[in-house]
Amino acid sequence: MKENDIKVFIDAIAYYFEHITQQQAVIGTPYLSTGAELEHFDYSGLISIAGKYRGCIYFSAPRPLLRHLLIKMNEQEHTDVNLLDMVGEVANTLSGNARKHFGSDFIISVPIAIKGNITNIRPPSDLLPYVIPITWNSYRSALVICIGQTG
Amino acid sequence: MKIMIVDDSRIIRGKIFQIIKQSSISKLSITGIAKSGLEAITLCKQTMPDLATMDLTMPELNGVETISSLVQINPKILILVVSALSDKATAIEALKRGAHGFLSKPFSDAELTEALEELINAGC
Repeated sequence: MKENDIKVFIDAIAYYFEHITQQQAVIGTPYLSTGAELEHFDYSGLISIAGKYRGCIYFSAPRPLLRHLLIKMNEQEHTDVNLLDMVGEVANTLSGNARKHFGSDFIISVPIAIKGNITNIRPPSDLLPYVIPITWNSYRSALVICIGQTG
Repeated sequence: MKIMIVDDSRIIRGKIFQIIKQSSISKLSITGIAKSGLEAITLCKQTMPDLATMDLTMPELNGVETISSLVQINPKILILVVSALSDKATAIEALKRGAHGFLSKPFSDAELTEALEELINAGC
Protein backbone atom coordinates (compact mmCIF):
# COMPACT_ATOMS: atom_id res chain seq x y z
CA MET A 1 0.00 0.00 0.00
CA LYS A 2 1.11 3.52 -0.68
CA GLU A 3 1.47 6.08 2.07
CA ASN A 4 -1.53 7.99 0.71
CA ASP A 5 -3.69 4.87 0.91
CA ILE A 6 -2.82 4.35 4.57
CA LYS A 7 -3.52 8.02 5.24
CA VAL A 8 -7.14 7.48 4.14
CA PHE A 9 -7.73 5.22 7.13
CA ILE A 10 -5.77 7.39 9.55
CA ASP A 11 -7.78 10.44 8.49
CA ALA A 12 -11.02 8.49 8.86
CA ILE A 13 -10.22 7.56 12.46
CA ALA A 14 -8.99 11.06 13.30
CA TYR A 15 -12.18 12.56 11.84
CA TYR A 16 -14.34 10.10 13.74
CA PHE A 17 -12.84 11.02 17.13
CA GLU A 18 -12.94 14.72 16.43
CA HIS A 19 -16.51 14.65 15.14
CA ILE A 20 -17.94 12.47 17.92
CA THR A 21 -15.99 13.90 20.85
CA GLN A 22 -14.76 17.34 19.73
CA GLN A 23 -11.38 16.18 20.98
CA GLN A 24 -8.55 15.40 18.62
CA ALA A 25 -6.84 12.03 18.67
CA VAL A 26 -3.06 11.98 18.60
CA ILE A 27 -1.75 9.86 15.77
CA GLY A 28 1.55 8.12 16.56
CA THR A 29 4.26 7.03 14.16
CA PRO A 30 3.20 4.01 12.12
CA TYR A 31 5.41 0.94 12.31
CA LEU A 32 5.53 -2.51 10.75
CA SER A 33 4.56 -5.24 13.17
CA THR A 34 6.90 -8.19 13.16
CA GLY A 35 5.50 -9.91 16.25
CA ALA A 36 3.90 -13.33 16.06
CA GLU A 37 0.67 -12.00 17.56
CA LEU A 38 -1.37 -9.16 16.08
CA GLU A 39 -1.58 -6.04 18.22
CA HIS A 40 -4.90 -5.73 19.96
CA PHE A 41 -6.69 -4.31 22.99
CA ASP A 42 -9.96 -5.40 24.67
CA TYR A 43 -12.27 -4.90 21.67
CA SER A 44 -11.62 -4.79 17.93
CA GLY A 45 -13.73 -3.77 14.94
CA LEU A 46 -12.58 -5.39 11.73
CA ILE A 47 -13.27 -5.32 8.01
CA SER A 48 -11.91 -7.84 5.54
CA ILE A 49 -10.82 -6.87 2.05
CA ALA A 50 -10.94 -8.94 -1.13
CA GLY A 51 -10.72 -8.20 -4.85
CA LYS A 52 -7.75 -6.36 -6.33
CA TYR A 53 -6.47 -6.03 -2.76
CA ARG A 54 -6.67 -8.58 0.07
CA GLY A 55 -6.24 -8.54 3.81
CA CYS A 56 -7.89 -6.82 6.73
CA ILE A 57 -8.09 -3.54 8.61
CA TYR A 58 -9.09 -3.21 12.22
CA PHE A 59 -9.36 -0.69 15.01
CA SER A 60 -8.63 -2.04 18.47
CA ALA A 61 -9.27 -0.22 21.73
CA PRO A 62 -9.32 -0.81 25.47
CA ARG A 63 -12.60 -0.90 27.39
CA PRO A 64 -12.12 2.52 29.10
CA LEU A 65 -11.69 4.30 25.76
CA LEU A 66 -14.85 2.75 24.34
CA ARG A 67 -16.76 3.48 27.56
CA HIS A 68 -15.73 7.09 27.21
CA LEU A 69 -16.90 7.15 23.60
CA LEU A 70 -20.25 5.71 24.69
CA ILE A 71 -20.59 8.52 27.22
CA LYS A 72 -19.90 11.02 24.45
CA MET A 73 -22.70 9.35 22.47
CA ASN A 74 -25.03 9.81 25.47
CA GLU A 75 -25.19 6.05 25.95
CA GLN A 76 -25.39 5.14 29.63
CA GLU A 77 -25.26 1.32 29.31
CA HIS A 78 -21.69 0.14 29.02
CA THR A 79 -22.44 -3.51 28.41
CA ASP A 80 -20.38 -5.78 26.19
CA VAL A 81 -23.05 -5.49 23.52
CA ASN A 82 -22.69 -1.71 23.43
CA LEU A 83 -18.90 -1.78 23.63
CA LEU A 84 -18.83 -4.16 20.67
CA ASP A 85 -21.37 -1.99 18.88
CA MET A 86 -19.16 1.06 19.45
CA VAL A 87 -16.00 -0.53 18.07
CA GLY A 88 -18.06 -1.91 15.18
CA GLU A 89 -19.24 1.59 14.32
CA VAL A 90 -15.62 2.76 14.07
CA ALA A 91 -14.93 -0.15 11.71
CA ASN A 92 -18.03 0.83 9.76
CA THR A 93 -16.51 4.28 9.24
CA LEU A 94 -13.27 2.68 8.02
CA SER A 95 -15.32 0.63 5.57
CA GLY A 96 -17.11 3.69 4.23
CA ASN A 97 -13.89 5.60 3.70
CA ALA A 98 -12.22 2.61 2.03
CA ARG A 99 -15.05 2.31 -0.45
CA LYS A 100 -15.02 6.04 -1.12
CA HIS A 101 -11.26 6.11 -1.77
CA PHE A 102 -10.63 2.78 -3.48
CA GLY A 103 -13.96 2.24 -5.24
CA SER A 104 -14.49 -1.15 -6.83
CA ASP A 105 -10.86 -2.20 -6.21
CA PHE A 106 -11.99 -3.07 -2.70
CA ILE A 107 -14.63 -5.68 -1.91
CA ILE A 108 -15.33 -4.98 1.73
CA SER A 109 -16.98 -7.29 4.24
CA VAL A 110 -19.63 -6.18 6.71
CA PRO A 111 -17.71 -4.96 9.81
CA ILE A 112 -17.37 -7.46 12.62
CA ALA A 113 -16.69 -6.68 16.27
CA ILE A 114 -14.56 -8.96 18.43
CA LYS A 115 -13.96 -9.08 22.17
CA GLY A 116 -10.58 -10.17 23.48
CA ASN A 117 -8.07 -12.16 21.51
CA ILE A 118 -8.18 -11.93 17.77
CA THR A 119 -6.48 -15.26 17.25
CA ASN A 120 -9.09 -16.36 14.72
CA ILE A 121 -8.07 -13.50 12.43
CA ARG A 122 -5.55 -14.74 9.90
CA PRO A 123 -4.12 -11.95 7.78
CA PRO A 124 -2.18 -13.00 4.67
CA SER A 125 1.05 -14.58 5.92
CA ASP A 126 3.17 -12.77 3.33
CA LEU A 127 2.11 -9.33 4.55
CA LEU A 128 3.38 -7.39 7.54
CA PRO A 129 0.70 -5.33 9.29
CA TYR A 130 1.13 -1.58 9.66
CA VAL A 131 0.28 -0.49 13.18
CA ILE A 132 -0.74 3.11 13.75
CA PRO A 133 -0.84 4.02 17.46
CA ILE A 134 -3.74 6.30 18.32
CA THR A 135 -4.05 8.11 21.62
CA TRP A 136 -7.29 9.79 22.56
CA ASN A 137 -7.93 11.38 25.93
CA SER A 138 -4.81 9.60 27.24
CA TYR A 139 -6.13 6.15 26.19
CA ARG A 140 -3.98 4.15 23.80
CA SER A 141 -5.53 2.28 20.89
CA ALA A 142 -4.37 1.05 17.49
CA LEU A 143 -5.36 1.03 13.87
CA VAL A 144 -3.92 -2.02 12.13
CA ILE A 145 -3.73 -2.23 8.34
CA CYS A 146 -2.70 -5.47 6.70
CA ILE A 147 -3.44 -5.19 3.00
CA GLY A 148 -1.60 -6.15 -0.15
CA GLN A 149 -2.33 -6.47 -3.83
CA THR A 150 -3.83 -9.76 -5.00
CA GLY A 151 -1.73 -11.92 -7.25
CA MET B 1 -45.54 13.01 10.77
CA LYS B 2 -44.57 9.49 11.75
CA ILE B 3 -40.91 8.48 11.55
CA MET B 4 -39.23 5.08 11.69
CA ILE B 5 -35.57 4.55 12.65
CA VAL B 6 -33.68 1.74 10.90
CA ASP B 7 -30.13 0.87 11.95
CA ASP B 8 -28.40 -2.33 13.09
CA SER B 9 -26.38 -0.41 15.68
CA ARG B 10 -28.13 -0.04 19.02
CA ILE B 11 -26.02 3.02 19.81
CA ILE B 12 -26.93 4.78 16.59
CA ARG B 13 -30.62 3.91 16.98
CA GLY B 14 -30.49 5.40 20.46
CA LYS B 15 -28.67 8.50 19.28
CA ILE B 16 -31.15 9.16 16.45
CA PHE B 17 -34.05 8.54 18.86
CA GLN B 18 -32.66 11.08 21.37
CA ILE B 19 -31.96 13.69 18.71
CA ILE B 20 -35.48 13.45 17.31
CA LYS B 21 -37.02 13.54 20.80
CA GLN B 22 -35.00 16.59 21.81
CA SER B 23 -35.10 18.40 18.49
CA SER B 24 -37.25 21.30 17.53
CA ILE B 25 -38.94 19.22 14.84
CA SER B 26 -42.18 19.01 16.75
CA LYS B 27 -43.99 17.52 13.79
CA LEU B 28 -42.26 14.17 14.24
CA SER B 29 -43.43 11.24 16.30
CA ILE B 30 -41.36 8.06 16.38
CA THR B 31 -43.54 5.23 15.23
CA GLY B 32 -41.01 2.42 15.34
CA ILE B 33 -37.40 1.36 15.58
CA ALA B 34 -36.00 -1.46 13.45
CA LYS B 35 -32.62 -3.15 13.72
CA SER B 36 -32.69 -4.82 10.33
CA GLY B 37 -34.14 -4.39 6.88
CA LEU B 38 -36.61 -7.22 7.42
CA GLU B 39 -37.85 -5.66 10.66
CA ALA B 40 -38.22 -2.34 8.87
CA ILE B 41 -40.45 -3.90 6.20
CA THR B 42 -42.73 -5.47 8.83
CA LEU B 43 -42.86 -2.23 10.80
CA CYS B 44 -43.58 -0.21 7.69
CA LYS B 45 -46.58 -2.41 6.83
CA GLN B 46 -47.89 -2.09 10.40
CA THR B 47 -47.38 1.63 11.00
CA MET B 48 -47.06 3.22 7.54
CA PRO B 49 -44.51 5.89 8.55
CA ASP B 50 -44.18 9.09 6.52
CA LEU B 51 -40.43 9.18 7.03
CA ALA B 52 -37.55 6.81 7.76
CA THR B 53 -33.88 7.09 8.61
CA MET B 54 -32.09 4.22 6.92
CA ASP B 55 -28.72 2.60 7.55
CA LEU B 56 -27.20 0.81 4.56
CA THR B 57 -24.80 -1.76 6.01
CA MET B 58 -27.07 -4.24 7.72
CA PRO B 59 -27.14 -8.04 7.89
CA GLU B 60 -29.75 -10.14 6.05
CA LEU B 61 -31.23 -7.38 3.93
CA ASN B 62 -29.10 -4.30 3.27
CA GLY B 63 -30.39 -0.75 3.31
CA VAL B 64 -30.53 -0.28 -0.46
CA GLU B 65 -32.75 -3.35 -0.90
CA THR B 66 -34.84 -2.30 2.07
CA ILE B 67 -35.46 1.12 0.50
CA SER B 68 -36.97 -0.55 -2.59
CA SER B 69 -39.31 -2.62 -0.42
CA LEU B 70 -40.41 0.34 1.71
CA VAL B 71 -41.18 2.42 -1.38
CA GLN B 72 -43.30 -0.44 -2.75
CA ILE B 73 -45.27 -0.56 0.51
CA ASN B 74 -45.59 3.21 0.80
CA PRO B 75 -44.64 5.13 -2.36
CA LYS B 76 -44.89 8.44 -0.46
CA ILE B 77 -42.40 7.56 2.27
CA LEU B 78 -39.49 9.99 2.64
CA ILE B 79 -36.22 8.20 3.31
CA LEU B 80 -33.05 9.73 4.75
CA VAL B 81 -30.05 7.44 4.37
CA VAL B 82 -27.76 7.69 7.41
CA SER B 83 -24.66 5.68 6.60
CA ALA B 84 -20.89 5.50 6.74
CA LEU B 85 -21.00 4.42 3.10
CA SER B 86 -20.93 7.83 1.48
CA ASP B 87 -19.31 7.08 -1.86
CA LYS B 88 -20.96 8.44 -4.98
CA ALA B 89 -22.01 5.06 -6.41
CA THR B 90 -23.76 4.02 -3.20
CA ALA B 91 -25.51 7.37 -2.86
CA ILE B 92 -26.75 7.27 -6.46
CA GLU B 93 -28.01 3.70 -6.04
CA ALA B 94 -29.87 4.64 -2.84
CA LEU B 95 -31.44 7.66 -4.53
CA LYS B 96 -32.42 5.55 -7.56
CA ARG B 97 -34.18 3.09 -5.27
CA GLY B 98 -36.23 5.86 -3.71
CA ALA B 99 -34.20 7.58 -0.98
CA HIS B 100 -34.55 11.36 -0.76
CA GLY B 101 -31.52 12.43 1.27
CA PHE B 102 -28.12 11.27 2.46
CA LEU B 103 -26.30 11.93 5.73
CA SER B 104 -22.82 10.55 6.36
CA LYS B 105 -21.80 8.91 9.63
CA PRO B 106 -20.47 10.12 11.97
CA PHE B 107 -23.05 12.89 12.31
CA SER B 108 -23.78 15.57 14.88
CA ASP B 109 -27.16 16.37 16.45
CA ALA B 110 -27.39 19.54 14.36
CA GLU B 111 -26.55 17.73 11.12
CA LEU B 112 -29.28 15.12 11.61
CA THR B 113 -31.85 17.73 12.62
CA GLU B 114 -31.00 19.85 9.59
CA ALA B 115 -31.17 16.86 7.23
CA LEU B 116 -34.58 15.82 8.59
CA GLU B 117 -35.91 19.37 8.36
CA GLU B 118 -34.74 19.64 4.76
CA LEU B 119 -36.41 16.36 3.92
CA ILE B 120 -39.69 17.35 5.56
CA ASN B 121 -39.71 20.72 3.85
CA ALA B 122 -38.89 19.21 0.47
CA GLY B 123 -41.56 16.54 0.91
CA CYS B 124 -44.36 18.91 1.86
